[in-house]
Amino acid sequence: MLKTFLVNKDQIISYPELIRDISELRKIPEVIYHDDIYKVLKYLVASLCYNSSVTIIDSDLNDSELNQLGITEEKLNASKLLPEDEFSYEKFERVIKQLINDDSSTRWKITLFTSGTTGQPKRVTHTFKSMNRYIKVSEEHGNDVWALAYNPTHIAGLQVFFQALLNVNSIYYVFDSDRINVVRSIEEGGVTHISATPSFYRLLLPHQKPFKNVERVTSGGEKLNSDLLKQLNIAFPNAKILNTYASTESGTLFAAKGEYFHIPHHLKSKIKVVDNEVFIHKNISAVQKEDGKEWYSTGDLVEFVDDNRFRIVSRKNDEINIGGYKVNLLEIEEKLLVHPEISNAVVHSKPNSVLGNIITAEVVIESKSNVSEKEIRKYLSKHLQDYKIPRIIKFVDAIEKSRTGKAKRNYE
Amino acid sequence: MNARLLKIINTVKKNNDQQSVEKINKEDDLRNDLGFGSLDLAELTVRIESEFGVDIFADGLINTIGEVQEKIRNA
Repeated sequence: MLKTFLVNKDQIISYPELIRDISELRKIPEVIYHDDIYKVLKYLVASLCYNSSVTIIDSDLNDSELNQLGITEEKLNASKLLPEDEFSYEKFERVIKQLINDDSSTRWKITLFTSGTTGQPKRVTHTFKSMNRYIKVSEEHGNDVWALAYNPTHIAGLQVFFQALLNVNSIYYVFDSDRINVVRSIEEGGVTHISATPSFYRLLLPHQKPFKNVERVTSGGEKLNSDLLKQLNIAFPNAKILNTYASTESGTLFAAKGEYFHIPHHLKSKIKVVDNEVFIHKNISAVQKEDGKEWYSTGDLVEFVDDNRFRIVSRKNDEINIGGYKVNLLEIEEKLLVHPEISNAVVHSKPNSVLGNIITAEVVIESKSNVSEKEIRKYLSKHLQDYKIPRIIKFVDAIEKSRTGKAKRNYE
Repeated sequence: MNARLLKIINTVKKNNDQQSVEKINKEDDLRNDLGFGSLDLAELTVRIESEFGVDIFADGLINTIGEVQEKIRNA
């Protein structure tokens, strides 16, 4: 049987088909900007195989956003001619080996843009190595089947993709997919590895039947709280559950079994925490700082339990001001999420002429529930101070997610 | 307009465990007569804005129902 490369709903592409399609290419784009996932991945693999650096852009961006990033139409249409020589499976395997062995002949670089949750999107250029510090390749991983639950034009998606590619694994594309397709992919596709945001898992859970075939569940991009961790353990009884901390600039930095991360020895001099915020040294950041500063602020606020262990508390942006009181939106979200009849929630801040800001919430309730706005508020009032309670609660069918798969929060 | 405004006021009151009112008069003071605190007023503004498209507190604080009605009429 031909080894499957990609499954995207009804589209199934094998590795030999991928190689054939690459061998038929006469040129490859310098900028990958496509809404067809197979084309995105095909060009990505081709760029690696031909050692040709690329820029990758989310297909969701429109012309004016591209303009802001300095991507002109000319750049979008630019391509490189490929040599005439035949591309083969052997050549593909050779490239993979080179990447695994970190052969210095790999000059390939990839440029991507941060999602801009902390302001303007930033341009970040990675080498294969700087992006994939924690990639694991071995025979053991040869039969892994991955669910690609991240946007492949952002760092987390690329990391998952390369982890799968280097082990020649099959990939089920489930980013931005409906729940039915995700469940079907995991169950029928025999997915063994999933890496996704807490928002993704919240959409998926609770599921009546545990996913027994999954061996590894990785959470990243947002705070994983102990409640979701508990649910993940129930839904994936045979999986190791890993919580990761990564940034577009540095790639994955920490991994932990639970909520608490510890700073590995080799990173101790590269990480510092000032006023509870994590800073990353420029040496482990792929971004060239223009202002010459040595440290990068991440906007992530943490809390230390001892000298070496910390947990993520929130993002700097999650803190807003309501009539002079500091409010952490994450704290409210977490209280909503433990309500037995609420399956998902996101809390927003909206400018308000009376108090500066007002808190609003969107909640998804269980199908049989008929809990009211008033009841939810009453429930919250047992756990939160008055000014932290969302004054407008909207009942929605689903929480919109950003292009990086995180719950989309509006700061108007 | 008055029926819709009354409904909004009672939504805010009900959500916050306050007694609802049967009618509103234009001299009613939002804080003293209707018992709204600043959080309630903030909520009221949002609800009025989504119903009538006007931010009643946009140019300073107002006190009475009559002033609210005027803002809505002039929107």
